[in-house]
Formats: sequence, C-alpha cells, structure tokens
Amino acid sequence: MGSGPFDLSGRVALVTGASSGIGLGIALALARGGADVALAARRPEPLAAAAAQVEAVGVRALAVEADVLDAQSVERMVAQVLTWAGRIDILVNNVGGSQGPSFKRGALAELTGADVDGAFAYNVRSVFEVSRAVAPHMREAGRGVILNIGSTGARDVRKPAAPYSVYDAAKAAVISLSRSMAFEWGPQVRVNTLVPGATLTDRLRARGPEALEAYAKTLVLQRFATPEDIGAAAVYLASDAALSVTAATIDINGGE
Amino acid sequence: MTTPDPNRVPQFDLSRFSLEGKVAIVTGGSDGIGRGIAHTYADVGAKVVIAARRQEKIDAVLAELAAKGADAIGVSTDVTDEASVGAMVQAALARYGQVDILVNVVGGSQGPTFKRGPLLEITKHDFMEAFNINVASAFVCCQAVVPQMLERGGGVVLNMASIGAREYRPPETGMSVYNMTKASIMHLTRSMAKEWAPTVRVNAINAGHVITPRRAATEKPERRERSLGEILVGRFGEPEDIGAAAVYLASDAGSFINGSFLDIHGGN
Repeated sequence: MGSGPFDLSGRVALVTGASSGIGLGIALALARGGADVALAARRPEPLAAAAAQVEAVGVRALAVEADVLDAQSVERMVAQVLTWAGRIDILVNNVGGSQGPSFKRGALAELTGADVDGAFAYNVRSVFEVSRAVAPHMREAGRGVILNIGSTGARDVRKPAAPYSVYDAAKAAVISLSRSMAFEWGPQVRVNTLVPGATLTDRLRARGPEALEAYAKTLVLQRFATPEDIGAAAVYLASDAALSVTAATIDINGGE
Repeated sequence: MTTPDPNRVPQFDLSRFSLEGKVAIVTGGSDGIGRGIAHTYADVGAKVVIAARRQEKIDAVLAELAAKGADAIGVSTDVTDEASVGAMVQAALARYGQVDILVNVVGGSQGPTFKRGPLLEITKHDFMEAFNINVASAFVCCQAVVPQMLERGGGVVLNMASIGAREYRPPETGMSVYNMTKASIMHLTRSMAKEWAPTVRVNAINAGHVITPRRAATEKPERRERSLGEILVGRFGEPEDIGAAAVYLASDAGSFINGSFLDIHGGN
C-alpha cells in the first residue's frame, strides 16, 4: 500500500445504499484504497454480506441498518458510526432510484403527485437528511468529503427519456443541491456529484446476456461502466489528489 | 458488526491509478501546469516526453525528472507546426516504441506573438494566433499521435480547457478570446471522444486559478487578489492538483470517462 495521493488509509467512510450495485462498488473501492467503511442500508441480510466483502479487503467494516428518509434513523446511524470510528471523513449518498415501494416511474401523464413526492423524497431529501447530519462533524473536524450521485438524464448531454423524467428532475436537484452544500459548508467540506452512465449492476444483468450485448454495442465505448469504475471516481474525489475539486459534477458516461 | 477473520490478508489495491510503463507526451511540459503533470506522471511510473519550445527550460525539467530516477526525454517543438510535431512524435516512438497518453497543455491568453485585451483593442492577428496556439496545437498533436494509438488499440488524450469557458463563469474583459478558444477545446474534445471511440478516450480538464510562473510574472496584484477571493477553498490551485487529475483520467481508474470535462477550480 503506497502513500500516494489517492491513498485513503486511516479515513472513515459512510456509504448509504451500500448493499449492492454502485453503492457496494464504491464501498469496496474505498476499502481497497485503505478506508474503513460503514455501510448503511435498510435490509439486514444483503447488508451483512456486503460488509463481509468489504472487511475481506482488510479494513474495518460496519453494517448499519438505517432508513435515510427517517431523520431519527439517520441520527442513530451517524451516532453509531461516530461511536465506532470517532469520525466520518467521507460520506457517499448513494441511496436513490427511479422507482420504489411508494412511487412509480413512467410517462408524465401517467404519474401522480405522490409519485413525484416519492421520487424527490427518495433521491433528494435522503441526500439532505444524511448530509445535514454528517456535515457539522466534518466542519468541526476541519475536513470532509461528500459525494452525491446524479443521473445522465439530468445532464444536457442526453435527450429526456419518458419513464425517467421525474427521476432525472430529482437528480438535477441533487446536482444543484451539491453545489449549494459545497458553498455553504466549504472550505472544510468538499462536495461533488458523480454522474454514472449505464453501469453493469444486477439490475442491468437481469435483462439477460443477449439484450446486454445488444445494448453494449450501441454505446460509444461498447461496454458498460462497472461499479468499480464508479468506485474509482469516488476514490479520486475522496482523496487528497482532489483537494482542489469541489462543487463539481463529474460525468462517468463513456462519452454518451 | 461483522466478525473479522484474524488470518485475512489485506487486499489494498490502488494499481488502477498507476501509469507504470505508459509513455506520455506532455506538451508545454517544461513549465507551469505541464511541468506539474510531467512530474506527477513520472511519480506514478510513466515515461515522459516533454514537448516544449525552449530547450533550456526542457533541460531544466529533464534534470529534475532524472534526479528522481524518472525515464524522460525532451524535444524542442513548435506544437502549431505539423513538421515539428511529426519529428517530436518520431523521436518519442524511436525512444519508447509507443505513445499511450497525449496531454495537450500548450496554450495561453497571451504570448510573444499575440496579446489579450478588450475586443475593440485587439487585432485579427491576436484573435487568430490565440486560436492557433490554443486550439490548432491540440488538433495538430492529436493528428500526429492518434493514428498510432488507434492502430495499437488504445490511448488517452487529455486537453486543457478552462473554467473561463464554463457557463457558470461570467465573461471577463480581456479574456474573451482565450475563453472562446477553450470553449472550442471543449467541443473538440467531445468530437474527438466520439470519432476515436472506443479505442482512444479523450477528456478535458477545466482548470481554475493555478499560479504558474508565467502568471506570477504577468498578473497584476489586484487581479490576483480578486481571483483568490473567488476560490472557495481559499487557495490557488497547484500544478500538482492538475497532475493528480491527469493521472486519474489517463489511468485505468478513469477508463469509463470519455468526452467529459473535469472542473478543478476549488469551488468557483
């Protein structure tokens, strides 16, 4: 383990939505960079398995069951991590999604106000709740990094795609909120947004190998991002290599 | 909490950020941001080809790199001249057999052959020369290097844009032509990323205020003070900040980043 600019040895990270997919990819990448990682999610079984994977890297891992939409649950989560590690250097707000138990995605004409509220709560209020619970500790410690997740549809490089319109609107709000947090909580806290392109997670794999291959051929790089690619971006941004990077939005979309 | 396995072997691994064995051409590598990138690249194992105009400045950086045991050569080059660039690339290939990374750093808002200023006070020559130095240079260098990358099946190009070309920055009198050239670089980056995909990745860095020797020598104290006041992190960027980003973007860690712009402005 070198002591290069990307080294995260001795840092403590909290990753929400860390049980699978991009969240787990980020948690593993931060661990390989040397950071201890607290993984937060709602369902205990996949969370414990994810924490075991992170621990196998050779760092300390903590599994925290938490509901990031419940302010009290968030407070308990942050207290638990602070008791465990004494501080939080890196927060990755990975919870998010285009649909959930309480809201659906779809064409605008098919959605209700409750779907819009659900999408904004899950994607935007979640970032707000966790960040405002963690940021004061970072400011007091004099340093910290918050990473949020946007969506390609929230960027002007992409045409709108009907079922994702409200999700993308919520992610555009996350990008804007990130910049506000960077300016309100800087210079101690750096805040940036990662915008992943199509990423090879279980959700994408569920389409089946033939559909995947056909999809990949339509992409500029003719492949998908891997959770490790998104994790590598998180390592860069969380490390001292990126001390001058804040209020920035980083597209990891393969050139789409 | 999970139960730690006492026999576990740590699998720390930052090898995706390594440039071990890669060959990188850095134009403008004898000074400022280019010199910072040359050093950072050498630190992570790359072999470095410095393409810059003045031999004595090239020699000074080569001596620094040699002192840290790096493998580097320098070639005096006019990056706006196809023949000169062609000779530089031939020298790189003759020495190292391949070029994996091209970093187009040469550029500036003013130079020995052109000035900057309010739009009614500069000439068409200033306008065209700014375009020549800032945009045509990257085009010429890419034309000389990229075919070899496409043939070998891989490569990375990094261009230098500027936060002055970003929509969140208001236009600044005197910097209008420079910022226009950097907006051109941004679009050129996206075109390159599309035309040379999936073999060659092309990205740009939008650097904010970085204090380079040239800037330190020419900038008025009032402007410098004003610039510092604009930076959230409360300090100017260092060439090493840009160097670290250039490592990330050129390495395997950045292998899904293509046609993108990375802002390094300390909050601006």
